[in-house]
Amino acid sequence: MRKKKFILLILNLVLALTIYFSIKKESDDQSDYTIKLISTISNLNEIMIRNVHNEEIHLTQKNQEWHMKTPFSWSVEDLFLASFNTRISHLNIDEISKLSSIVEKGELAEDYGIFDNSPTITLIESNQQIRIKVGTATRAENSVFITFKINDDDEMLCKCSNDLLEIVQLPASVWAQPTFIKQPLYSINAINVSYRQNNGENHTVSLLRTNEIWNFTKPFKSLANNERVLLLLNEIASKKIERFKKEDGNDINDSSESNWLIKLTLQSRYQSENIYFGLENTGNELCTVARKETEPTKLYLESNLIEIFEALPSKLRERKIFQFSSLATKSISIKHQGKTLALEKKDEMWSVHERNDTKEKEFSGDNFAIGAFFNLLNNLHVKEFISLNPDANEIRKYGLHDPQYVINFIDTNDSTSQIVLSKNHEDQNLFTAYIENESLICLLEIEIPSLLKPSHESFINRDLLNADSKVATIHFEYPEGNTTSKEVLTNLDSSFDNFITLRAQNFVDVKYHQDGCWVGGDWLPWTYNLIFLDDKNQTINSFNLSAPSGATTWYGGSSKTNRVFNMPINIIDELNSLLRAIRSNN
Amino acid sequence: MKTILLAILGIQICVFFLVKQFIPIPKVIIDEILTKALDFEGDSTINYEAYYLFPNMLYIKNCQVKNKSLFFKSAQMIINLSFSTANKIAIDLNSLELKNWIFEGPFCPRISSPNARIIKLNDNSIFLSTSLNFAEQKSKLRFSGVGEIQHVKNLVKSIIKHQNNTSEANFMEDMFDLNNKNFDVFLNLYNKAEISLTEGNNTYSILEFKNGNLHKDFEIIPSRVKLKSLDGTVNIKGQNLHFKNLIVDHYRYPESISAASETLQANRLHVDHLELNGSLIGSINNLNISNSQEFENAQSFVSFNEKQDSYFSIFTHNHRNDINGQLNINSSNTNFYASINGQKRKILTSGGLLIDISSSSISHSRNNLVIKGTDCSILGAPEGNYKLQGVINDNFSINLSRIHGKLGDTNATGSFSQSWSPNRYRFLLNGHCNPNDIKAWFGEWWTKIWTEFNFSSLTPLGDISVQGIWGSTKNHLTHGTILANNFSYRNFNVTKSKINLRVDENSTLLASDSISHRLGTLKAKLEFPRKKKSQGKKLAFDVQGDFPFNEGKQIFSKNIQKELDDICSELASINANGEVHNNASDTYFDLSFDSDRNFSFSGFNVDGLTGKIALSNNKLICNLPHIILNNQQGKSRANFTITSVHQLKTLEFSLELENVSKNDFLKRLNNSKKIQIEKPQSSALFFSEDKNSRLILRLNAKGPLENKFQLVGSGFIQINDKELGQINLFGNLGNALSRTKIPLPLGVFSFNQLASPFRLEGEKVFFDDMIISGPISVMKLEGNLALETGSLDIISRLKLLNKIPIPILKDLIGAADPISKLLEIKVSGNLLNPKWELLLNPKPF
Repeated sequence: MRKKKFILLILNLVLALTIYFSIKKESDDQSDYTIKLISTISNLNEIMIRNVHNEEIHLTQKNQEWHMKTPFSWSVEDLFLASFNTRISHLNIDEISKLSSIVEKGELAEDYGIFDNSPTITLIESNQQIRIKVGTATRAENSVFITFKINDDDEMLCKCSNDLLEIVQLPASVWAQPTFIKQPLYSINAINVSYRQNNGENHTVSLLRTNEIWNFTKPFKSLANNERVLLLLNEIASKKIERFKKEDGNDINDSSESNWLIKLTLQSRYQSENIYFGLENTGNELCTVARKETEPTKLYLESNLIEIFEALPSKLRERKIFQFSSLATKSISIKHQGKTLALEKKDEMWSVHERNDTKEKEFSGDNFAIGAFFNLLNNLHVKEFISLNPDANEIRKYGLHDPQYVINFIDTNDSTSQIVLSKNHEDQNLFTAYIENESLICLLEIEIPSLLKPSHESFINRDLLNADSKVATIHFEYPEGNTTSKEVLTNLDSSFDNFITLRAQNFVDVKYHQDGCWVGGDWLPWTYNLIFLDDKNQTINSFNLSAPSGATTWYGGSSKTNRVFNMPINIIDELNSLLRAIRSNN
Repeated sequence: MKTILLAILGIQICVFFLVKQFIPIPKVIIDEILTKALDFEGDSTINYEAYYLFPNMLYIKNCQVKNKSLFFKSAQMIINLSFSTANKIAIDLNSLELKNWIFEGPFCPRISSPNARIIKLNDNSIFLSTSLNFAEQKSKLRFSGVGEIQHVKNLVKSIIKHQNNTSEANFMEDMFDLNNKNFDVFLNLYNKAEISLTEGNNTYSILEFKNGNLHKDFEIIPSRVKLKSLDGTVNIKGQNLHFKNLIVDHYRYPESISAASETLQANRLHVDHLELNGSLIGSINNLNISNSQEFENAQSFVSFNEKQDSYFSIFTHNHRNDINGQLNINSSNTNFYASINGQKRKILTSGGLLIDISSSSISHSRNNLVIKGTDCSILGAPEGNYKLQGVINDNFSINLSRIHGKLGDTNATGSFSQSWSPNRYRFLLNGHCNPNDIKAWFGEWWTKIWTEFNFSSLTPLGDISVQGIWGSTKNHLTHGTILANNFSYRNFNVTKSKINLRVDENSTLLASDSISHRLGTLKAKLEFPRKKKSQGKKLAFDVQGDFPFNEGKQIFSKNIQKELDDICSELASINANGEVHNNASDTYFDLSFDSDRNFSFSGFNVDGLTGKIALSNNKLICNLPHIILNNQQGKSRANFTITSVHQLKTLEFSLELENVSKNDFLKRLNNSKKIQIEKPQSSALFFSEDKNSRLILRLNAKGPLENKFQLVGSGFIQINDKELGQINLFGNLGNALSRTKIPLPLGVFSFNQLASPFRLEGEKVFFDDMIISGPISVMKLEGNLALETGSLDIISRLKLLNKIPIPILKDLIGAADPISKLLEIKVSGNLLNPKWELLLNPKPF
């Protein structure tokens, strides 16, 4: 009976096991390894790689920031880590057998290229550690023998796609960030460059960014050129590190023992970085070397990198030194050859004064022309800084005691400033300038006709209608056979706004006649009339117009002012459209 | 116990036989599960075979889902289930495996895959793995990922929703070359959100991202994106960008930090080498773009070609853009080419351009732009110096209010404006401009027009507006005036002109109310249609005024020139218009002319002419109502029509000469190339010494143009000539009769008028009733004259007027008018050597 029970039990067990093993699929296949790998790399804390060059690469992660500890200390390039993870996640691993079982079969691990010092990749997460040793290539060349060991489990001999071989062949430097500035360009607020002098003292150039504008704070206080500063920072940030070398126990600092020539300090909102630069003769060439204060690693850079720190004050100084505003200026005068042209602002209205010793003429000024003039002044470049705080002799030396041009400014706070100009003797295109407020002598390239040949014509008001004119309708009269027809425009017409801001492009120095004008030897009869009327149909102003003389030339005349003018392109376009419409309607 | 063991054994035996047995499952159950799980559209058709495999497996075979927007097919689906009894009995999905599946959706290319696996790792996380083949692109993608179930679900839902709402896939396909690529993707949604993609030497990594609110529009916000490509290509609207060693770093600050720092994101792009192909061809080295965005402001800095000092920054604040920087471009270190009409043309052929942009927050308009070109040649134009000054506005449109350029013979000032989207530009140029100097900037059409103009050292003065949209052939308009002196067009010399020019996408129009030449002035309008719009039309013209025919007829086409080739005139007042087409039969013109000067037609000189020539439908009609011959004495007019059918030309003409000088006409006829009868014969026919001889000739004829001896027609001729008897024909008759010893009265052959209707039949002129009369005699002729050979076949009879007595003959013949009885004369031979034979004719006169 017991025997029967036992047999039944045994049958039960055998059947149960049979069922178990038949149900249990061949699940210990490659996907299990892949799953284990992916589960590990998704939560990695540490990576250790012994590569074929016998470099022990040790990477650790803290707060999502990866850092290389060995063979040198440096930040890990995120992209390479991402590439590593992707490659690992697609390894095809096929189990061959337990490593111990091949020994039992009389084989050796070494037969598969597995040695104690074989290239190894160790992936460590909080609960799991996977160690993969890389052996030799299999007969099928696209795979390689490996051993795969999870925690303290049995070490398994497997075949794996040879992506793994490629990973362990890479040197440590590919894991390192190739540049030495991590801070975004626009986060940097201060730059300090210290040049170590032979006497041990430091010469310093400092720049500070305030309200998005870079200024020199040392060796002088002056505007810096924002873009040139950004270009410098960009140049530093893009320089690639060619080689890394560990320098243990040798902290770098400002002490004189340290072998550095330039110390660069970059300060951003939240961090400050000190980088020391020097030169090192590597036998074949002179290298620029650098070290970050926080990293015991020497960085080998392009040999000429250190040159970018040369002559920074001259390279970075803002060469557009004028900052005139037509809004903040009360008057500006240009004195040249005994004549003075003055632009004066009163009650926000500009007037133009042309005076010599005996007489003075006054004209209404043109806001646009004067604004454009200020722009041109502000756009002047210093070609060369000659002297700061010059003495009288120096002023005399450059002929600035008896200048060709004297420009005086008075701002709305009644502060005055003066610039005097004299033509440079060596280069006729350049002017030597003494800028009183800056106490600076410099060379300027000036190509502003309205400054060099000051004349009221450049600045007089070109508005043809009074600003307070209440135009209700505009009549455009045109000849039709032997009669005159007219087109009436009101504020419903799209061209109306253009016409009511009618300005002269320029006034033409010819005589106005009732029936036309002579321009360049050609008689141009008045062909059209443009009449501006108020809401009571009273004429506010009227202008005679010639036939168009070219794409940009269409003359007009005013019997009121007896002046002939050329019209601006927007009015010429409107008139052309109007004529086309009239022709097509007819 | 034994019973229990037996029962278990029984169950186990049942189980044993159930294992690996595919037990069909009713479709209704699976339908319910699939429809709920996958949310198929209502019109979907689903086919499959479903089986249960002991103990926890669903096996779905040949599953196919199809609706109007998607197609899915899987050879096998294996679903592994687990039974949970923690709180209540529930079935969980342990794993899902697909084999040999295909998917086609509206927004993605056809995907096929040998496998796909989703495995539940634990309660919270799953593993995903698949390989995808994109057959159209011959590309493969291997995907593996791990993540928290909820994150994965959210992401998948978001992507599906996003795909339904956008056509980003098409955009991606257009932009990136996805052909023959092998992508590896790793998605990590476990404790973080990270996706990495490698392809060859390229790695693209979104290190952190989050997906937006699922109830709102889909949005994946990448907060940390890094991208590295050693060699990649992007295509943007036909412009191909091939970059080497590209690094992109995008960092979007978390909101918590952003709030404190006001910095939202920082971006950096670096390319070692960028090659452009498309409309713009060339390369840039060391391109760097840095960008920072804060709540109110954005700053960008761009630099390239490190050693060339090319850089600029853009500071955006309060919707305004301050731009500062400089671009230093010179021909030796910048090799940019433009593809113009399929031709690769170097943009800066020589010299250099320095572009300076500067802004000042206190200036009136802040982004001042100065461009200086020194000894630079743009698109192969002659070397020149340029200076352009203006502003870049906040919307990046450009206004260059002052331009000065000097290149070749061209020295012009003007302005330029440029706006974007569309890329509309406008040049206003005023100054001396030789159109040939700037032909390199326009298409072949421009060159074709201007190559036939030859300008002297006096370069034309132009006042021109050029506007359009870059890259578009539409909306282009060039118009203005050109004052040009001493130039020639197709060898027509113009001394002074004011030409209105208008060039648009349809045509180039040159019109002038005043073109002066050495003999007068003209009004002219020439329109050259653009090739694509021409429909075969090459030129339309309208010319009025004093036209020097000999020089000027070349201004039309070779076709018209050929038609007018027979006309020679120093000057005529004309009114001509017409069109020249590639297809000669479409060419037409209408030319009225009036000349009081020497005018010749096929070498036939006239002293003045009024007429009209018109060509249309291969028919050339010439109407000459007033031909002046010999200083207005007499009246002449002619009409002719030449009709071309295939290669054959038929001439139909009428000619009326009333009382013109006969000798003069014969002389002119003698000189004509086409109408002339062989010279010795024509002079032999009618030429005499009477300078006052007059001619009346009326002729209507028709026949092939190329053979004048096949003309057929009729006419009338009358000659009044005192010396008519002296013409060769009659002179010889006199001699012949004198040899007969017939006592003819003196002056019997002194004729002064010839009148005859005639018929022209091919090479022969027939006259049945030619009367030649003189003071005492009349001669009647009947017969024909062969025009080509001059051979004669005439019977003539002579009659004496006023019954002049000839006694001997009277007696002999017994008739009052014995001559008419006696002198029937047969003329044969040819004009140069007529033979006379006297016949005794019984017929009365």
